[in-house]
Amino acid sequence: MTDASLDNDSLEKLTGIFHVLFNAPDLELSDDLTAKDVPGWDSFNHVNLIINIEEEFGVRFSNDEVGKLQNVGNLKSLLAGKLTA
Amino acid sequence: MTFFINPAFWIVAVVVYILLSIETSHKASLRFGFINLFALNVLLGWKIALAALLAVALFWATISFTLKYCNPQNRNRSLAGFSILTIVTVLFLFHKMNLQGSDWIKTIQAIAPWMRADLFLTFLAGLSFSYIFVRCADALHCVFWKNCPLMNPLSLFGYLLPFHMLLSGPVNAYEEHLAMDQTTSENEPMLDRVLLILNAITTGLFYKFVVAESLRIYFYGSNSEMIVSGWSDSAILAVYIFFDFAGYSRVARGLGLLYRVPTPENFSAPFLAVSVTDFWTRWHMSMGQFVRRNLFTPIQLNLVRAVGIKNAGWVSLATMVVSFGFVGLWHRISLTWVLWGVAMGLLMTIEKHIQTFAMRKGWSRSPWVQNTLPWIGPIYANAVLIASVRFVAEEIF
Amino acid sequence: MNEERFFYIKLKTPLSIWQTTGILSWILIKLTLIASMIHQSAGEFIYAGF
Repeated sequence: MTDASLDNDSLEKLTGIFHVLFNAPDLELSDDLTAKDVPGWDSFNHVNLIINIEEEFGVRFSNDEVGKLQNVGNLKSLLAGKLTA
Repeated sequence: MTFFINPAFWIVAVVVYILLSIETSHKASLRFGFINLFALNVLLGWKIALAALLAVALFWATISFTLKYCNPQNRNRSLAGFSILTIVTVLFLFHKMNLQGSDWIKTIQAIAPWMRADLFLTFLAGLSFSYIFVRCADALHCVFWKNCPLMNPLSLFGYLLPFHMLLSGPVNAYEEHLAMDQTTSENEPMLDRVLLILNAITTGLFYKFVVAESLRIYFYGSNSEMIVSGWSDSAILAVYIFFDFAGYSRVARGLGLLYRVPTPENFSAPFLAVSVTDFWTRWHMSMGQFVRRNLFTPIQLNLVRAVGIKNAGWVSLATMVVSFGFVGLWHRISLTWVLWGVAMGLLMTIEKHIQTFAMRKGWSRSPWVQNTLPWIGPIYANAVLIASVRFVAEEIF
Repeated sequence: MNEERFFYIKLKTPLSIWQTTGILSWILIKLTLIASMIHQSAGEFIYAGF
């Protein structure tokens, strides 16, 4: 994980993906948000989330990175690291 | 298999705790590996403990040698990982086919008496090799595909054959065992912690020896076999298995917490599950997490990348069937268990489609659904459980 | 490891003398019941030796 942070545009796109995928228009992406806090965020939708992010941002996550994600904060910094790389 | 009512086990358990309490400069996993060797030596005899240590050393040396010649970007690395996994899988199949006393074993012994196939099978059965197999698979996945470091041979021995998880799991994770070297003990009152853990361990023993055994004796008598001939028998057996397995798991986890050795939770109120999918996140949880880590997520991720996200739902059917087909085969190599796994995979895929549909329509947020599901859900999930127990009942024991 | 969930009851340590006495008594009751059942129990676990 890197300490890079996500710019506003990217954060908006990421939030949009969550809103559509989990049909939760009011969801706020706080760093400590985990799968347990979002109805429908199971292992199936976790894969869909990753693929959606990959397609939207043109990045690629390894199996290792996908498995190690603990919360939205991890996801944001991992994505930010990939976008700035 | 009277492990937990054998006083020697509890004497060893206390000695291990005392030995682990002695502060040394060595890594926690190494210390546990060394002390675990002592525990297995006392409990299983020095010949079995030594043979197990040599087998782990051979496994370690094979991985270590392979890693030395394949860097992370090398394609041969995956091939090497799969090759080692295949060898371990062949051993697992050999173990699961229950060949003791069969004509196959007699033939192998006639051709190669030096192999002592009979002794080898007894050795694998005595160590509950099915659990060691999944730990080996987890370790190989982490080392070859996730670039985790390889533990030293003694730490690996403590991970693969922990004496308190030897008989019936749970399936501990390689990465968590690696992380035990980084965690520092919290500043909390020691006596209180030990008391709470003892409370949990005795609850585990209470589950098995009081609740489960009272059920068995009440319904079947003290010396009769548990035969499933109707739906009520299936329900009793399901409850019996829960108190038997959850009781064992609680004792193992309690000892793990006492030793600060990662020992995952295995049960979380499974009879309150609102769907079959929910049930499998509450029953034998460590196996579910193993399947998710090593089968479902990597397969689903690669398949969805290949066919596109629009087909994710249909692809999940294949992934679920493969994942639960494995769980079925892990229980026993038989058509009944394969069909059980396929049926579970199918059912969960159907549930997933219904859940996605309900989520899109916004039904999942309706108060009616939220109030009704906690009542209707468990009735449905337990009905499926009872039906599935009846289906595999003859092949459980 | 989520230890709080394992202990089921969320107790704030250090335990009070009443909590300690209560838990100790409960452990002793369980051990007595286990001891009375052991001689008539099969002792085997279904998933053992898998």
